[in-house]
Amino acid sequence: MGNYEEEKVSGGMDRRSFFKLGGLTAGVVAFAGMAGCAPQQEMANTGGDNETVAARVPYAVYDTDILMIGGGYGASFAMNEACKVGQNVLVVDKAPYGFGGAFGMNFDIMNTWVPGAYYETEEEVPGTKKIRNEALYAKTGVQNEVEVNPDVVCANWGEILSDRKEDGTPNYIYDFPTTRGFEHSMTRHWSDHFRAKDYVTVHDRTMITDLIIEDGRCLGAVGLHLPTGEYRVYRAKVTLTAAGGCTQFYGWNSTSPTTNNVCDNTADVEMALLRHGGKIANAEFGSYDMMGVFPRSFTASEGSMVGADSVHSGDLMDVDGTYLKDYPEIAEKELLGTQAGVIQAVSIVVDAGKGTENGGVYLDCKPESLSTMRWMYQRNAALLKEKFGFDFTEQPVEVVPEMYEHGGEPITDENAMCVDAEGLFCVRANAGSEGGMMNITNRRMGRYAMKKALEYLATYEESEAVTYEGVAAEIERLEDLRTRQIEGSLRPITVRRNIQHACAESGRPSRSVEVLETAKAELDRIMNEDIPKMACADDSLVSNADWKDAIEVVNLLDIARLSVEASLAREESRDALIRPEYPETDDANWKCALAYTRAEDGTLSYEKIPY
Amino acid sequence: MKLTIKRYDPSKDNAPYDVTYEVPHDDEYMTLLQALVYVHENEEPLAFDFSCRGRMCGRCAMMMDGKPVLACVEPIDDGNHTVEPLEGVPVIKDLIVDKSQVQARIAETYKRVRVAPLTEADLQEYNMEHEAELFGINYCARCQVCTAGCPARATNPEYIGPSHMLAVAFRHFDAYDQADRVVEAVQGGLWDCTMCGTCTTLCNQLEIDHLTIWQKLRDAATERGLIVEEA
Repeated sequence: MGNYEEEKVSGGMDRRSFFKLGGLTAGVVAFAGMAGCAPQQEMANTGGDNETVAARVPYAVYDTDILMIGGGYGASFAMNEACKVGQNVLVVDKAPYGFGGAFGMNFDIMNTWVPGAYYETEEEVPGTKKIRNEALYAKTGVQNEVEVNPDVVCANWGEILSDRKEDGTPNYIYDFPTTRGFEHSMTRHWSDHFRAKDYVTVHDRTMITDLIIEDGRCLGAVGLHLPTGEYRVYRAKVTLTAAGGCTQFYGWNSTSPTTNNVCDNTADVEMALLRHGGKIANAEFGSYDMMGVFPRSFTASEGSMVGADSVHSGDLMDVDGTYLKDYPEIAEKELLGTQAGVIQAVSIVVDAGKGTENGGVYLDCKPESLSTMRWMYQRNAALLKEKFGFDFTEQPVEVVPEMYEHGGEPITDENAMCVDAEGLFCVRANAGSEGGMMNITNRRMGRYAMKKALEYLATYEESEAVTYEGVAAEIERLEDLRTRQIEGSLRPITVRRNIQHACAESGRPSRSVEVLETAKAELDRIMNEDIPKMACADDSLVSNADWKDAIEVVNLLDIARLSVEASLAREESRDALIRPEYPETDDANWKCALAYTRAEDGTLSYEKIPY
Repeated sequence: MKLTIKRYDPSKDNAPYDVTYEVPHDDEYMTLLQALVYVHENEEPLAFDFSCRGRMCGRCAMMMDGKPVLACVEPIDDGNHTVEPLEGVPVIKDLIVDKSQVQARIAETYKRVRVAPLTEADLQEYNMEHEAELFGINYCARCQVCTAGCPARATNPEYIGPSHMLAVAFRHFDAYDQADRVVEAVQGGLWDCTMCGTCTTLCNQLEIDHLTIWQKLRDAATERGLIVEEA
C-alpha cells in the first residue's frame, strides 16, 4: 500500500502487537457492535486491553458457510449450483444488487456457446489457443457449462429471449456448427430470480476491502457498508471471488476512463490477495472493442455510444477513408473476424500513420452502415440525435480501443482454488491471455468453482485456533484512510486521476517500451509522492465519496502497476497485447503466466508459471 | 454556469441546504453528469451515484430544475440549474437515494410464475403478439425517473407507478408467465393512471411505448370486467 503503511498511527508502537485483537475463536458468532448512520461514537471495547482505534470502532460480524464476493454474471452460475442443492450463500455486492457491473447494465449481452456440445470427458473439450491452464479449462467444460443450452438456463432465470423470427423461433446472430450466439440477453432478470431464492442472502452496496487470511487459509473477508460506513466482518468456511475485471486505470475522458466497464470494478479482492502475499497474473492482458470517443461525455459507453466489435468491423476505415478490410495484410491474415484480430488490424493502420491522434481509426457511420450495426449501438445514435441533436450519421466516428475486460487474476489449482489461500475459490480466474472473462469462460468457471467449493465444504474442518488479528489491522487501515490529516494533502480523486492519466497510453493494446517506461516512472512517483499525501476532505461515515475513492485508489495503483510492469516483462506480442519492439508471439519463452507478488515496500516481482 | 445542489449528510447536518457552484460549460454536448464530476473533482466531495454512463443502470436518477432525469444522458445548458435528489425515495446523502425497497418490490413482480421450468422445446415457440412491448420493456432501467415524475402517483400514492407497472405488463405479455397479471395490474392502480404520457416523455429508453402498454393492459382488464365504477 505504498509508503503510508509505514506510518505509525500514534506512539510508535510495534504494529502487530498494537493491533492484536484477541478473543475471537472459531465457532463464535460475535456481534461486536452495530453502527447506525449516526456519527461515529465510542463503543464497548471488544479487543481486550488494546487501546487501538480498531478496538473502539463498531463492526458487525456475519457467519456463513459460503461467502460469494460479487453478484453478477459469473456469480449467477455459481449461485445456481448452490441453490440446486439447497446450500445457503451470502452474496456481497458492491453495487445495489442487480444494478452493478456489466450485469447491472442490462444491455443486450450476446451469449455464445457451442451448439450441441455436451462433453462427457475432459479430452472431448476443445482447447482455446490461449495461454491458460488448459487442464482446468477442460475440467470446467465437461458436461457443458450449464448442462443444457445456456439460453434455456437464462430463460428460466426470467429472460424472454426477445430476438425471434416472425414464427416465434429464436433468431441466432451466429449459427455455425462451432458457435451459436444469441443477442439481447438482459441479465437484470437473473437478479430477480436469485434474490427470490431462499438460499441467497444479499448484502449489497457493500465493498469488500480485505480478505481474512491466516496461515495460508482464507477465513472470509472484511467489508464496508457504503451507505452507513458500517464495518462488516464476514466469517466464511468457503469464499468465492466473482467480482468483475478492473479497467479503471486506462485514461480519463470527462466521465470515465476509456472503457465501457464500470467504476465499481477496482480489483478490490485481487489486490487484497496481493497485499497478503498472493500471486496475481495476466494483468498485461485486456480485451478491447473499438468504440466512439465523441461526444466526450459518452466516450466508450455501451449505452450511449456507437462502436464496432468484431461483428461489425467491416465499416472501420483509416484517416483517408480506406476500409480496413481492404488492407491486403489485414485481409490476408483474416484479422477482422475476431476481437483480438480487430485490435491487431487497428494497430497495423495506426503504425502505418493512418490512424487518429488518439491511437484509433474511424467508423463509417452513414445511415446504411448504422442500420446494420447491433441494436445496442443503433439505439444510442437515436438517443443522442433526439436529446442532444448530435447525428452520428453526418460524419465518420473516431473509434479507439476501449478496454471492456481485463486480466489480473489469482492463480488457482485444478479445483479453481487459489494456490495461495486454502478455501478461496475463484470464479474470475484462468482467463489467461484472453484478457478477462468472456461469457463462456465465466459460465464454466462460475459453475465449476461452486461445485468444487461445495465438495470442499463437505469435508471442511475448522481451524484449531484463529486470531482474526487481520480484521483489526484492516479496520485500522480504513479508519486511517478516512480520518488522516496531512499538510498539503491531495484528495483521493486527484490521485485517482493521476493514475488514470499515467496509463492513458500504456492501457492501449499497442505498448511501446517508451510508453511503458514513462507510465512506470509516473506510477512509481504516485506511489512514493502522492499516496503518502492522500487524505479525504470529508470524514463522514455515510456514503463518503472521498473515502471510497481512497480505498479504491490503493487498489487501482497496484493493478495499474501490475499492468505496466507485466507488459514490460513480457517480451513478445500475444493476442490483444501488442509490443512494437517484440512483434512476434514467442511460445518458447513466454507460453506462461507471469505471476506477480508484491513486497512490503511495493516492489513487484514475478515467477513464470508455464502452461 | 451555476449549479445549485441540495446537499445533506444526515450524520452531520440538521437539515438539507443548498450550495451554488460555478461550473465551466466547456462542452457543446455537456451532460449533468459531467458537471457533477467537475464539482466533485474541483470543488468538494459530492455524493452521487453512477455506473454505466448510458441510461442502463439507472443509478444516476435525480432532479434537475425540478424534473426527474438520468444525469448521464441529460443535456445541460450554460445557465443556472438546480440539482436535487430523486423525489419519492429516502435520501442517504446529497444526491444518493435509497431505492432498495421499491426495486425489491419491482423485482418480486418481475419474477416469472410458472408451473414447470421451460424446456428447449418451449424456447422454439413464442406468442409474438406483444413482441414490440416486450422488446421495449426489456430495456427498462428501473431507475424510477418515470415514477418520480408521475402526476397520478403524486395525487394517489397507492398507485404503484409506471416503473412497477411495466414489470406487471412485462409478465402479462410474456407468454411463458402463467400468473394472473391483469388482476395484479388493476390492484396496482392501472385505472389510477390518467394516460397523461409524462412517463414516456421522461423515459430515456426510446423503445418503451408506455401509452400503448397501458392501453393494452386496460383492454385486457376491460375484457375481464375489471373496471372501476364511476363514483
